Amino acid sequence: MQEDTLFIRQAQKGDVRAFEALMARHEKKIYGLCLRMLGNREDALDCAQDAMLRIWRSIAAYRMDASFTTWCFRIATNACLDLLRKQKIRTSVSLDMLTDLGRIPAAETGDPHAQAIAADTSRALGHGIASLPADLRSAVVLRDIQGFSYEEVADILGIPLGTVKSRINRGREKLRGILFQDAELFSLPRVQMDERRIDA
Amino acid sequence: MNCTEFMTLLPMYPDNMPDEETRSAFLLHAAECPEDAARLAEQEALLASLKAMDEDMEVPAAFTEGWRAALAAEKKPVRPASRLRGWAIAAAAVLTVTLGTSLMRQGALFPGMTAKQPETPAPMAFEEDALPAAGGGSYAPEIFEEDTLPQMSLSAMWDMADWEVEEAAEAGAKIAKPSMVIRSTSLSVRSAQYDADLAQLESTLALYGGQIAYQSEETAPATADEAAPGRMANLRARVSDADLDALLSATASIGKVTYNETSLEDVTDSYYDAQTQLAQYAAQQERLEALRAQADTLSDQIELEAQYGEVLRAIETLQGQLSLWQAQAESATVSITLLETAPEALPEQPPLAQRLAEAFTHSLRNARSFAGDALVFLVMIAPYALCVAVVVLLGYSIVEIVKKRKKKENEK
Repeated sequence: MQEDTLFIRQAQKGDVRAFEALMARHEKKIYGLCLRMLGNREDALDCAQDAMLRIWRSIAAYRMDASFTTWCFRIATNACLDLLRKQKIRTSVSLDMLTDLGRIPAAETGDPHAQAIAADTSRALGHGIASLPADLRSAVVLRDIQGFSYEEVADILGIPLGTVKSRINRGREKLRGILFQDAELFSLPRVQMDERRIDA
Repeated sequence: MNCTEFMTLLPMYPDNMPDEETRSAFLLHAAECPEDAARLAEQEALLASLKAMDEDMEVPAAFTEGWRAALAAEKKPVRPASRLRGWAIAAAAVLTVTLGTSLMRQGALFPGMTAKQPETPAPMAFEEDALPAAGGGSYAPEIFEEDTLPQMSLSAMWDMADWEVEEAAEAGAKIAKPSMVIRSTSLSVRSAQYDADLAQLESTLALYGGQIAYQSEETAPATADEAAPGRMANLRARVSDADLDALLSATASIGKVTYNETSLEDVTDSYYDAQTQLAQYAAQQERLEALRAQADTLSDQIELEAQYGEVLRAIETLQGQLSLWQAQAESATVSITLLETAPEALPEQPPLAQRLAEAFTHSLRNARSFAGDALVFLVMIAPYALCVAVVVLLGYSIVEIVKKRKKKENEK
């Protein structure tokens, strides 16, 4: 976008307001990325803030040859992975996550039972994502939650396209195995346990 | 497609299927297998849930305020991108290597590592005394002790007979016999401006008192070098022996001398032998004149007349020879052949392609040599560069550690 280009050039010269206007469109997704990657609100806040500062400090070196969005998310993803490496945590889902989960299937029916299931589903989703190894988690979050294309995911993570596809497949398979231990989570008919592949 | 294959493809559905054919077979199997159809529905529900996770997520105000506040707290402004920085660093590195290599090749840097040039052999030293003197190698005249020589002309000295020399020696005068050397020089000169050079030769000869004894002009014969020769002039002149060297120097600049020969004929011994004989014949002549005056008989007179005649003829012959040698020794003979040639054509320039190829080859050779020297230079400065790099790295690490400590203290 031409407006983004103008903001970028001004930000590169040190214009803070231009940077704020530029990042206003991306801060939600960056926060969402950090939240899904780290699994708790506190770490997500710290990491997202750190990511924004890293983007500000690095914007002078940004060359217009790559998408600004993928460039920002590369920095944000690296910030998440750096924090995960430092902490070496497999996050557990906190109750706070329930307020950030957004729309959940079957949560809008008004049925208390459905709402309870929806809450459980949200919790299970967050737990399932947080249970994935960092490399599979980042690929699944960027593709299935953030909505980036396979090529953009490859660009953000700095890995080949084939590796991206492989990680997403494995991540989805693991996630499926974790989540579908309980068939009621997604309000689906139960399938025989012995016919499922559980890869949790 | 069987259920195992279906389960393998399930994580790839819907956006990572290998191809449309596989997708069609996958969906067809789901339509036929109720259990796999349920699994497919679960997968679709899962993906839909993941996609919807952040749709209504609200960004915490703490986050928005936090990063803006942190931005404002940044002390140093973001420096504008310097796209030329990388090029500047590369240019500086190239300049350093080029300058260092050039200084090293000249010996200003790392003396002793200059590329050793092949030693050109020193020119052979000629002992001047061993070489004949320039000008044809004429014999040096006998050394005259000027203080003891009487003041006599050369002719007077040459006319002295041996007995007179002995008498003079008894009188105490030290006289050395001068050499009698006949010099002859032959020159061949090529000229592109025949008429002008011929006139200059004639005037130069006249300037040095030369008398042209013989001059001719003809068409030069064809040679391998000259298919269409021009005119050829032959001159023979007599020049004072003392002026010969000066004359040869003056004519060296006329045309192009292609042949130069000087011959020397030493007739000193012959000359003085002839002088001695002449003296003897002169004495004999006096005796015969005295005898003729005293002859009584006709037969004696006739015999004496015959002997007298022979002596006179011998005297004349010897006098003639002596005069000839004397004249030849006093004057040298110069023979000059002037050959007309076509003006020398300018050397043809080689074709452009050849010149370009030669220039490229020459440059490539020089570049290869320079690259080798540059590599030597880099190897030689490597220890210094390593020391500098270690120092810089240490300094940078210390600065970073101090920064991190300050940041932690600020956060506390």
